[in-house]
Amino acid sequence: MNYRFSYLSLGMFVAGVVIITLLSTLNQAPATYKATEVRFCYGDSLEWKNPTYSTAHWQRNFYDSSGVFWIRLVVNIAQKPQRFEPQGITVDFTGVYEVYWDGQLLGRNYNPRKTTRTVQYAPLHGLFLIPDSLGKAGRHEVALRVRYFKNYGKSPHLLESDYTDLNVGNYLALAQDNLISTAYVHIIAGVFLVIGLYYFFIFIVSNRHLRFLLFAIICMSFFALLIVEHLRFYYYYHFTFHYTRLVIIALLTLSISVLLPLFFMHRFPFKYKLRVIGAMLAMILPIWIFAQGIDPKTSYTMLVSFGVSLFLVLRAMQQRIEGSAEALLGIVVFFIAFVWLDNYDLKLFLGFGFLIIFMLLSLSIQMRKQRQEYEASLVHSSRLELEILKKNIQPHFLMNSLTSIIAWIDDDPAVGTRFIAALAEELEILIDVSSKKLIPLQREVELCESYLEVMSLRKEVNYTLYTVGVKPDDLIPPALIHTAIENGITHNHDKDGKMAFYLSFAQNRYQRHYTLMSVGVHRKTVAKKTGGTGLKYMEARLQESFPNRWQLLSKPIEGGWQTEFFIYNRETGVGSR
Amino acid sequence: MKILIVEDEAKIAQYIEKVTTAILGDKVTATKIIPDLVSALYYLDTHTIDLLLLDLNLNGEDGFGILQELVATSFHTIIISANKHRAIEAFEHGVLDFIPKPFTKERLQKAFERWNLSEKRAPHPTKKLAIRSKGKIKLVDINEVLYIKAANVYATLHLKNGEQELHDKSLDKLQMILPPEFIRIHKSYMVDIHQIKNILIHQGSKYEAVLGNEVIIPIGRTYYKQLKEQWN
Repeated sequence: MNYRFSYLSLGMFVAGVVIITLLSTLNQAPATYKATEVRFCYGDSLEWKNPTYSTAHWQRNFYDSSGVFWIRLVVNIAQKPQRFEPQGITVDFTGVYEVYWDGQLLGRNYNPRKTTRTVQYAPLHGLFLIPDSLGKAGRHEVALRVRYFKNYGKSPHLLESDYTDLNVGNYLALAQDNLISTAYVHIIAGVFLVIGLYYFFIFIVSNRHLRFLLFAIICMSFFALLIVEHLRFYYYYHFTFHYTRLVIIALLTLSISVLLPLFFMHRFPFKYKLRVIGAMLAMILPIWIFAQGIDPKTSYTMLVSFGVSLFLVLRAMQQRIEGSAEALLGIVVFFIAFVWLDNYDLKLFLGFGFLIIFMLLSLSIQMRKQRQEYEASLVHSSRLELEILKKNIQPHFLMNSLTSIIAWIDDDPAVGTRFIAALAEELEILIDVSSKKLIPLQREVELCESYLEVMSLRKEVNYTLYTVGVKPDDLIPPALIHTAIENGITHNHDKDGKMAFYLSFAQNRYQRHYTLMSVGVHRKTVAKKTGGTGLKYMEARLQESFPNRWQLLSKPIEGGWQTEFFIYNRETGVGSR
Repeated sequence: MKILIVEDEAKIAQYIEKVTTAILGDKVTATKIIPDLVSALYYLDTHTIDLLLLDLNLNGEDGFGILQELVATSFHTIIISANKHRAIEAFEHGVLDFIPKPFTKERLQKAFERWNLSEKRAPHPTKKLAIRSKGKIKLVDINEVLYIKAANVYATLHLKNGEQELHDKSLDKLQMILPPEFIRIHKSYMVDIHQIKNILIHQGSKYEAVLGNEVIIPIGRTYYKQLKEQWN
């Protein structure tokens, strides 16, 4: 197989690595201040909001989540904020709370007129403006009065889990930055949606290869993953939905992780599909049982999936399958992204994104190859056509016929003229049918009869073709019977100046069956036979018109030679002689 | 003169027979038509002939396979075939002529003239000589031949390495298929002219040629003049 490593894929690879490197350096600077000295106390007292109230005796670790409790923490604004740049605080919390800043109430995530039990809507994400007078550089005491908390994380470090977070920084940046990055992500997500739809349509409409469907599902899963991942930045959902969203993300990642090696197994032919998938699931299962938190679960799952994919792709490269180099580059880019980038979202986004781009490249290379094969098959078909013409206008047939004509004209000009007419008729039919894939049997019989007339005059043997039970309009490849008759003449000679051919036809629910019997005396030979092109021609024509559902038998029988064609209604995988 | 026609096309075989008889007239004492190689080889085992007219493709059977065997015999072979592209190959095997199909009476006549006049040579000389030896066919490269001596109706090839081989063809017939460098210097001797190192002239118009391996062979008086012209 032709194996190519194109400049395009190399260019894509370099671009991918450069982008990942740039982002890994850009992502370093922290724009916000995080909480320190987090402490808890169960119970409720408005006094606890005051910064002067000492929390030294409060708990450091959080275990329980029932009832009302307070969280006190310290935020240190290290750099003096610019003038007229308001500071803000974001709280992501799976509960109902109000937030105090240096003793001042900044806001709450619920309607205060409702009781805890009747709160319908308490968004996970809250953004609060810090008054200018309080947003100065230095140490600030923050208090959260929690009226209700649903603990998904089961983590002692309450404000550093998948579910909860607290940031202090420039109010505008807190409000806008995530939205801006979400806008870019959505552009990319749209691209994957279109690619996914495109391959889905390719699968539905024209090319029922499973790899196209798998690729479409992978692309659309990735699209869904990006959307769900960034949903939180513009849709301020109720905190209970957060868990659902994380589960959706985990399941999407899991499905992509399983689909990816499956895709590679269909893209680069691989026998032991079930075993590999089984082994991979066996590796993923303990990760899901033992790894804490959603992010580590999905990260390790993806790592396993990519490890398996790497194995498959390396195997394909070893077999020099076209497009395997591109797939390898994609996986390498993924690993680079995985190692260099800290942010999970970026890992996912860039690692997967580039991988899919390389898979796309790999698929287009394969499609190019398929197109070339298709074109080659067209050439093949015209080559067959040429073959049959060549065989008949080939020196042996044509020159011997012409020499015989010279001989006849010398002997008996009337027969010579008849001969020329017969030869002309045979050539005319031959030129007409050779460009067709299938012709009616009637036409084929006409071809054979004119051929036999020419041969009768040449060999001075009375050749006759008898047909038994044939259907005149049954379709067969051109010159099939003709070639079988030629073979009959090659293998047998006449008996007392006569030689007969019997063409019979039988049909049932499963197959059509033609038998050509040449009745004659078997020839003795000393030298090797030339060609064998007749047999090759018949095989090629049958395969062209009835792929893998034919059989050709050609053998000597008592008193002659027999050629049989079986054409099956369904594919049998026979396609042989 | 006996002629064997091996041709699987009945009408063409008849035509060849008819035209041959018309051209050669009374010289032809017998003709025989055989349509396949097996019967032809059997016939040759039991009959002697003077000329073989052979078609190379007989019902899909490749006549080239047994051509070597046929050219090792005492008679000449003329190929009549539609496979024009194999003409050179046939000549290199040592056939006298190659007549491509379709052919005319005139073309056949030309071939017979060449056969009749011993001085005429084949249009392409042979490169190897096939020799029948102990039931097997052996090929001798023309370049290995130092000189050839007549031995009754056969010819002895004297090779450069000192060995000798007997060929079934007469000196006259060999001369027709050998390259022009091989010239007659005596009624019974033929030599590659490039192998002659010196010519000795003795008293009484007696001449001798000294060859590469210090082998000395006689030069016929009638051939001397022509040799001298070509030799320098």
